[in-house]
Amino acid sequence: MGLRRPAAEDELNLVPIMNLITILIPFLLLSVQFVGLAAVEASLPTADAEPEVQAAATEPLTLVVRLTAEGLRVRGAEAILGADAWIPCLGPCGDVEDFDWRTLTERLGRVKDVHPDQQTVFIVPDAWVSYGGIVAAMEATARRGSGERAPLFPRTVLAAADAP
Amino acid sequence: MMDMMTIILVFLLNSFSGDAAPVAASERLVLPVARADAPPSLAVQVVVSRQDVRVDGEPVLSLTEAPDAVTGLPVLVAADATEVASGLPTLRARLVAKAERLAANAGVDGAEGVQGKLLVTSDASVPYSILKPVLYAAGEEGFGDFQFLVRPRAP
Repeated sequence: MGLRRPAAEDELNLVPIMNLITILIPFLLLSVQFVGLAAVEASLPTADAEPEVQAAATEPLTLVVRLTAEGLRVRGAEAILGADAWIPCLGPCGDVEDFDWRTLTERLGRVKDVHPDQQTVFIVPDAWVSYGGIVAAMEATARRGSGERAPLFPRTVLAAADAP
Repeated sequence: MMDMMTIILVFLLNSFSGDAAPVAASERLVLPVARADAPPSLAVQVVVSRQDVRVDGEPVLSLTEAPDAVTGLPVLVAADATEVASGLPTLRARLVAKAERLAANAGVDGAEGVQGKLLVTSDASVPYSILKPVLYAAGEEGFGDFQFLVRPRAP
């Protein structure tokens, strides 16, 4: 008979799929993002930020951290901090590193110890303060010192002394 | 060989999936470093470099350096002061269009989660005088939940 036997030795042709994968792998490797990015959250003191503002209204303090050309000033917790509510700059106060973030975190920790339910802090930067300074302020007010992960005031409302 | 390639391909495809937002990288941006571990989620993106402000890649405000009136030092200002004085209408129009498109796509996977969220990517040196009108205009157009993009600090 002329019937062709199923040839056991016939191999599946994998060359096209291997070609495809060989092209795909370098393409995906090139697209890999090697620098990880993260986000920190904030809101505005407007009607659009109602949950945060409402939460702030139900909290014991209206805690404000002002970033000024002379230093940092904590408002709303003078009864706890007294004269320590004022934190002068370490240097000429022209850059992010000149603010004393470590002392701010320590003093806000004292406020948190008295009011553990407080979650919200209003950050009010002067116009010259950079984005890096704002993020540093959010970092300093959100968690306790570098070794600890305990939260301080994780809900940040970004305000302005003279809102446009 | 084929097995190995299949495993690598699946691994790479898996690393691309998830809810993390695609973030436009730029050599002109120097992001601040902060302790943060939450990945950015899907949101409308505003990128503020030292050259301009962009909403989802479209320029809405040009920036330039000019001497400060008091100190004489160069500071970053809007190239078109009237645009800022009139409340950033180009930026608002772009955000309104984005909000309408998101509302039209309500129900589509991911669209509702984006509403009201703004992913702010800014150069670390950009002053608050530039960011403030941008953020307040966005807040007034319904984008009041901000995520500030940072480079996470090494633990």
